[in-house]
Amino acid sequence: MNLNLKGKRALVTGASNGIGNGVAKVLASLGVKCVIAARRIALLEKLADEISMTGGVLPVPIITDLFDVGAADKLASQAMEVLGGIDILVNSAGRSKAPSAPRNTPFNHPSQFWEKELHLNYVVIRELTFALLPQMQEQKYGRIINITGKSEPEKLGTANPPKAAVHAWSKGLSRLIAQDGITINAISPGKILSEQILRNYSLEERRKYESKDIPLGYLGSPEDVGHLVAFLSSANAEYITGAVIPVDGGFRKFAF
Amino acid sequence: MASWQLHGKRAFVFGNCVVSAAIKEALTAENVTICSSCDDYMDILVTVPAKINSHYQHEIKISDEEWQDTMNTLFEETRKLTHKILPKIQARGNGRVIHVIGSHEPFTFNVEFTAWGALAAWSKSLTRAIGKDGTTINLIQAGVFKGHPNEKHVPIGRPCQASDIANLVVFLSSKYSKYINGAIIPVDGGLSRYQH
Repeated sequence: MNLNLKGKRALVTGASNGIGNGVAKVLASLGVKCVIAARRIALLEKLADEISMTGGVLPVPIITDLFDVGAADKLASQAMEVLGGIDILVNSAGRSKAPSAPRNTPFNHPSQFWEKELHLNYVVIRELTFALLPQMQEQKYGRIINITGKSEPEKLGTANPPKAAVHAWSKGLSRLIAQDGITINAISPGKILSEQILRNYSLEERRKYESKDIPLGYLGSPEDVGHLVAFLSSANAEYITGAVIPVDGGFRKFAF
Repeated sequence: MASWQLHGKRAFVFGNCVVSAAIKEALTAENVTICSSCDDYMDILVTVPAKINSHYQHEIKISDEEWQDTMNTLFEETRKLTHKILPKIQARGNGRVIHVIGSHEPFTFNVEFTAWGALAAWSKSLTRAIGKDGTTINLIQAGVFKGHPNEKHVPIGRPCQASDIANLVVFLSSKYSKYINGAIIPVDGGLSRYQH
């Protein structure tokens, strides 16, 4: 895959595991210098080792807990300082539910827990984007890629509303920044093999998804998402903005 | 520089316009063999409709014949061709079907929008019938080209170019897009209103 991304600089959140991890690997293999951010430093260091052993550009780990007050602004300025500027922001930190939350969200799920998921899955994305936008506008190049989820709520859940908010917010923003050489797109992943999916679904449930719900018949890999991130990051995709693109093997039901 | 590892793949590109020409050129640059007949065996089918940039308003009293003619050209021909070719693509596995369509946000009354809607629903339903062999079906929703009255409304500030479409066709043809299936990807400079 030759996308002329060599020398570009990226900030990838949620990079310790799952999709963010795969995105960082793909970008680094294409010559992108990445800041990889997450809570668990040991996993970030492991990722940095893996990338450097496979010939990718050595990434810089930064520990961050995006639930902390002011974390987005702090991370943005740390990443800017390390890389001297950001060309690509991949908002991959997020989750379908808190690990401790019940499998089925009740309607009286405490408000503070709803707020917490809204913060991680939408507010942080907006804050990081707005923190990095002025510099992207100045250099007349920017790629903002938000990893969201499908807007097809199967049941009541804390993640669907914020992910839908990201879709609507980024469509609006895409119009404002379109003439600055900056595109903003969302990728809605389906069932991608990751720590979260392994935690949330039993083997039997995953098999059922594969045989009944996913036309391609298998769960995707983080790299599948990473490859689309790489394409969207390139000049080849300069005319694609304000889009929500599924990487789900055909899982989503909606046709339009 | 050929770099998408498409060497040895065979494609049939249906259409006869600047967009289909740009797609053929981009695939050829990646060492893809362009089939001259849809009777050949192949891995990739790309269709580009005859009309993609129309902007006139049909009259409500449009004749059934004219309606049907346009539906045939924009939807039925694509559907028939795809059904005919699919077994050949599936026999080789990991095939790619890519249909280029126009905007299906109707800004005026025109048969075209009905055709794109039909194409979207048909092709999504088709993904439910195939796929286990790794064959994917996706749509590219093109923006407006030079001369279209909506050109001035494109957020990015320029009309769509054939190369914008061809770039995505190359990506979707490659193994790097293997988990993208049943998607409609707008290449429209941000023109469409709905976020999908």
